[in-house]
Amino acid sequence: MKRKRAMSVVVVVICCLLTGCWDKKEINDLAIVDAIGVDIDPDSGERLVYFQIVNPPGVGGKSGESSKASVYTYKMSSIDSVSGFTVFANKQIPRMIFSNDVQLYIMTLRYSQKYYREILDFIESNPTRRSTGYFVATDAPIDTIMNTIVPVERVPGRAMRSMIELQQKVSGVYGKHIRARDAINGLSRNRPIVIPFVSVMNDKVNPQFAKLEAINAPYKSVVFDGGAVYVKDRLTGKIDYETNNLSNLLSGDADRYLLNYSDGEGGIEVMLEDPIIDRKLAIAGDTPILSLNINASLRIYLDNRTKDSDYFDVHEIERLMTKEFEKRCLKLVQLTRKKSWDLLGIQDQIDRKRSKVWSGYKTDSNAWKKTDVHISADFKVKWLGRTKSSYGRSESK
Amino acid sequence: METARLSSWQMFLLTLAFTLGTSFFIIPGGIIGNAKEYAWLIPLGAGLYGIVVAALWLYLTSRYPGLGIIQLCLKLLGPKIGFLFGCLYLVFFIQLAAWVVRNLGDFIKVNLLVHTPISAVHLMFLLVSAYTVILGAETIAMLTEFLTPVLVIVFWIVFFLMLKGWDWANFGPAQEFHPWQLMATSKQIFGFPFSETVCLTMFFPFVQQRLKTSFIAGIGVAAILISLIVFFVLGIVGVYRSSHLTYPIFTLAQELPFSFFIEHLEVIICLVWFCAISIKLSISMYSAAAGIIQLFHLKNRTFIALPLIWIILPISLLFESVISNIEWDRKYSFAFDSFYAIVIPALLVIVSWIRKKQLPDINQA
Repeated sequence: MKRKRAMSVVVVVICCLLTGCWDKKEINDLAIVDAIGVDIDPDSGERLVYFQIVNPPGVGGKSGESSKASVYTYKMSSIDSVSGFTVFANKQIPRMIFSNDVQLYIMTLRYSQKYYREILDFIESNPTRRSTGYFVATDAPIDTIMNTIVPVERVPGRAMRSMIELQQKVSGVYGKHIRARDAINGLSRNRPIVIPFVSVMNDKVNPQFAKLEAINAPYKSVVFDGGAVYVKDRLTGKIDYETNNLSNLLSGDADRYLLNYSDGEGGIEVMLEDPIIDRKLAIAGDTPILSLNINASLRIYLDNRTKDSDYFDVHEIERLMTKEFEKRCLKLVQLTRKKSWDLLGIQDQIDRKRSKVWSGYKTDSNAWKKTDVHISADFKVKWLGRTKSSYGRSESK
Repeated sequence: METARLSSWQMFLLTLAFTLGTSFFIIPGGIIGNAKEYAWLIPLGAGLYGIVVAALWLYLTSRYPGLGIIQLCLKLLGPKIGFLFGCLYLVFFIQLAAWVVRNLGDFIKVNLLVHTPISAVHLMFLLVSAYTVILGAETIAMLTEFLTPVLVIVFWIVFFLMLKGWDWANFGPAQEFHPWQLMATSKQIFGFPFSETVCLTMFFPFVQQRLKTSFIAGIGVAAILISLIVFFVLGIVGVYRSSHLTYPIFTLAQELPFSFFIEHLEVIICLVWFCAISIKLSISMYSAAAGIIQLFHLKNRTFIALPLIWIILPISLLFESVISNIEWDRKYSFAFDSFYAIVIPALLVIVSWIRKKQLPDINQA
């Protein structure tokens, strides 16, 4: 009896200490943040932040509820503190901000020029906010981006995340290192980080969901268009789709690259797949030499150079595509030097060298520009489509 | 006096769990900040140091089998000076328990339960640990025997899943390798956790066989595991970022690139850590309780363990923040722990030699 009483006292005491009393999180009290957008007001200089909050009934599949908005966007402004956005969010939002699973951080170029490090610190310091959300840059009005719904996928943040991930997988345009955490690591490296660049197809956006009824899907929708290049914390320009894809491939960040060749009348289109890159950095005399040898398989999409044929001439395709690829690589190397973008990460590789012969190059931040880059390719056609030969190019009339 | 019996396997696991307890979560960020890409070497060096120091304790206790460190103080230094040194160890064990619980409280308060008072978190863990202390050394050993293998396996499964994010570029620019300088800047790890294992000398009298092997193997394996963890953190999170993070392993688990639908595996890592911390807390509380029994000739552990909570609880609140804890650790931990791990045991060894010399003289006289 005595033991039972003692146990009851212990249970009551422990119940009083249950953490639910202080840190309870009711799902119905949470405002689940899907995407965060940041900008600067061009007139007042105020920082602007947009929280895109998921509206669960709007996301649900029930037909009766489909007319509800899937997300609501809240706009806040603050002059002197970035933390104030979350601390004072409840001036507008009747629920507790829950940013554990933010899919996307969208920032305007003007914001990133001024507050790049600040936004990284803001993301990183909060223990509940993971740094795995993707970073996206834009020069479009941010309220347009934040109030644009992507057809098919009802939650915009998730939609844009899917678009990025699909591009990583299908085309290899975006590399693996484009999340907030990679931007943080990028602060200590010389290789620029390329943040996906997003714009709007038609800036006269109808914020109403009525547009979902329209059959013309991309109308007033967001579109990815290359990337914004940041060297450490500095915005240095824009890179196009194809160049970004190639630099990611050469750095081992992407494993696909769409390569095409034209002889004026017809052409070849192949997908370069599963590259194995042999990368060596050495010194010959006083000059560092970076050798990149790329072995990859080719998947033939199209070859309409000749008239009707029995088989694809795979050796000729391999030869032409190797030549074309090497030509493009050379162009990329010239571009990196011209723009001062060490897209191949040469300086970082020099910095990782332990031998004393490299010490002079480590202190020279332009050593990567003085490095001779030799790129060679060895391609093998491994995959075809359903056809073993082409139907040939069109007869000219 | 308790008459528990521990196997060598249980002693090995007790040592392993105690050494890994708080350290595998807290140490990586600090030593990566100091030693950059060589940080993984520091735990190996510190482990070696831990083994050398452990050999001193094992030598001392082997001269007087069946006695713990406080009993040795009483036996070798006499009832008055021995009592004083015994009390110093008692303070050390209590302080240790307070630090352990504070490390846990800081982590929970910062990352998980922001609005819960830190003392409520401390109290929950102290109550559970006090209960295991009441049940005795065998219970703590059996609990450790049951939990540790599961925790180690689960932790490493999750950790290996994280390897997907490995990038050699994360090791950052190559720094010059100055081993002694690196050891000097990261000297706190020699104190915490390797010198703290002196706490386990209170369990030595209960070990039936192969005490030396199990204890030294426990320290050695813990050092290797900490080194591996640091190496993984370097390769996945990176030198630059992890030197800015308070708990890089937690961040690493939060961002585990496993799949889109299985996320937030940090919960598993947290559970592993909480269990490991509970074991370390129970061991240090038990050492304190056993010390009180030996110094004051008391019998009932229940009436010692429960009031201990109210001593440990306020001491655990002495640090203002995580930063002041880290600063203290960096500046004083090595010297503070060395006093208990090297100075007093070395003094006891010297006294034991003198006494042995005196004994034959007395016998001859």
